[in-house]
Amino acid sequence: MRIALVIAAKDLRQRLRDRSALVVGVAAPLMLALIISAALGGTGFNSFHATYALYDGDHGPVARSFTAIFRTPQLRRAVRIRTVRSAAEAASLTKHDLAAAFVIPPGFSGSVTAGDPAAIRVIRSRADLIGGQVAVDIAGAFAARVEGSQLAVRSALAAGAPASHADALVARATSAPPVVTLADTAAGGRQLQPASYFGPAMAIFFLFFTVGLGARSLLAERRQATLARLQAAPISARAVLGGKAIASFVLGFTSMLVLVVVSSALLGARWGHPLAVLLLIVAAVLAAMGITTLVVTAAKTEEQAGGYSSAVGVVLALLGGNFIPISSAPAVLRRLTLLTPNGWALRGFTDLGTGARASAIVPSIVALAVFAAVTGGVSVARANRVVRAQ
Amino acid sequence: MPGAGVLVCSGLRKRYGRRVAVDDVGFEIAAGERYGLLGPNGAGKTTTISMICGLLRRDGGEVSVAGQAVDERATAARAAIGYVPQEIALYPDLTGRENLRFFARLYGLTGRTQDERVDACLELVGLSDRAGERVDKYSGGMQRRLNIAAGLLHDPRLLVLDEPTVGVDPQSRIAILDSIEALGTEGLAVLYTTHYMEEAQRLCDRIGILDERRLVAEGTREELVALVGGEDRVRLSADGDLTALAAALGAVEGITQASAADGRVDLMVLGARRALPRILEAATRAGASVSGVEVVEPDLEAVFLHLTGKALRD
Repeated sequence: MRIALVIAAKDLRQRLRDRSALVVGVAAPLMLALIISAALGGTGFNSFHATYALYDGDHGPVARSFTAIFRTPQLRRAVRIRTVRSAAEAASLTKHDLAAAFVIPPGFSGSVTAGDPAAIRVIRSRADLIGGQVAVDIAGAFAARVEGSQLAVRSALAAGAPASHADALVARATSAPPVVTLADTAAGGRQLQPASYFGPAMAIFFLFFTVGLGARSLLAERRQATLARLQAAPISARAVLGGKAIASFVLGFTSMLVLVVVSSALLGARWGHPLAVLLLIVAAVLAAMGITTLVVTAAKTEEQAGGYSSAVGVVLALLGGNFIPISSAPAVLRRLTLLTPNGWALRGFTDLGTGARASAIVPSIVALAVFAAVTGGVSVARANRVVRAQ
Repeated sequence: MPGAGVLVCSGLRKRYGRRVAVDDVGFEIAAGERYGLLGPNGAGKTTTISMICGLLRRDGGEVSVAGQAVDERATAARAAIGYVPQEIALYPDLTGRENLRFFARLYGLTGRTQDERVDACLELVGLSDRAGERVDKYSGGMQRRLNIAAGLLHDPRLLVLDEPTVGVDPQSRIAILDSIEALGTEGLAVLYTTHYMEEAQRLCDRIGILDERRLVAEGTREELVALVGGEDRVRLSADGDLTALAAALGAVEGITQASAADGRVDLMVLGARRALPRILEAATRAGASVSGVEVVEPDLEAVFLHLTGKALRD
């Protein structure tokens, strides 16, 4: 164990001296997390914001019911309305900075009350596809309610209600709150912040490169012929591999830990229960060590190992949702995520980040431990062949 | 394995597939003795010492170092060996002192003992004043010297030097040879491989000549030269087809070996001075234009030529 620690200390000194660990393990993931979080907005990863223009050429009771929708608690936080004086002005604004415009034509309320066809026109911006689609959905939902209210009013009139009350009945029906509303929250009960997603996502992505530095140092020893000195020394192959493994683990664990602290302090990332986070970090680091060592020992040179590691790291990151939130991916990709340690680790971290109990990460820990055991076992056998006499 | 030598090896054999790299090599080195393993590139020198140091598995043979059989007591045997690889086996991003401290710890040296040994080895190779600089800032010669120092840290019983002067400038070569000569002979056995005859002659008490994977002769310089008998080496500088010239001269009476290399023809000749007119006449008949003749007293190169029929530089 003493010799393994001596080798680990030497490796860590080298990594710190050439600054590679600092750049790959801390600076790069932090910068990427910062950039991506900033790009997605800092007020809520899953929240939506849009500003729409609204031209009300009708001013009738049904039109007022439509505009009242935007004052409901559900939409008030997400949608801002800019009232304009003409349909042309509304259309013009969508060419610049607004996501969409609603145009309520004159006589809209009268047509609805009379049961005649009526339409709210939605003008969508070409620049904001999501905002435009949401505007169409809002108008569509209102149209569905209007249709329902028309049916209700016709039923009321058929049942003997005075025809003079039709306007009031329509207005009341269309402005009534919906029976069922959607509450959009994350699994843990808290909205996931961008930094709470991309902090761990980038940390996991770069973890593969950070621990890869340790694995690749074995090939560097061979290139520098220092491996021959280690082989000739009165030490075991196990001590050499142990030293490399300790250095890799320390680099990976420290890198993740620094990112937890810094992303919490600077980006406001929420990581969740500290002990659970530590456990998850340990499991993720071990899994990454197993995979990178397996990849590196398949290579003959450091350059080859670098190429293999990068390819595997990027593919695992893409499949694991490190770049694109996997929740928005097709079902096939969501299933593939669970074939990667990245996916399991990220799932654990996002569960913790949304306030889930520590026990929620047990499946992630088990999956990562399996990755670590299988790949680690094979890679130790392969690395042993590199270190032992041929 | 019986034997009083610090290094005792016998029957060493190594194969790579069907290719035999070392075949039945064996020798002993006593305490305080410097043993040179002399042979051309590819003769099997590095393979031999790699088996001795435990870097390569043997396909046959036995090795013991300081009385410890390397198979049964590998750790003890390795602890008795100071290995200096042919390549610069150092960490370029660490300082000279950091490198030596690291290697010293691998051999169990700690605290004051470690510091004293590191300082002593730096002093020996003349790098005390540059010890705090990173190795990648050192010249090639300085790196070579530090490479040797790293093999001496733990005060080994056997120092194995694998062609330590390969690729260095003449000045650094002299410094390295001086460092090795300065090691002293108090109990330290040295195994030195080289393909430079002068280095083997200068440094080694006994020399083993390795050619085509086998040890073809061994002994002191005098014992080896005696193998040549009364033969002298004659070196002809000439123009024309030197291979044909060597073949023609090989038929001349008194010439026992003839080989062409590097723009000249080397001959092993009985009674060189008397035979010289016959040699020049035969050369003229062969159509060669001889521009220079050198008669050399027998040396290791002559021995090598005598034993193998080819020059050491081939």
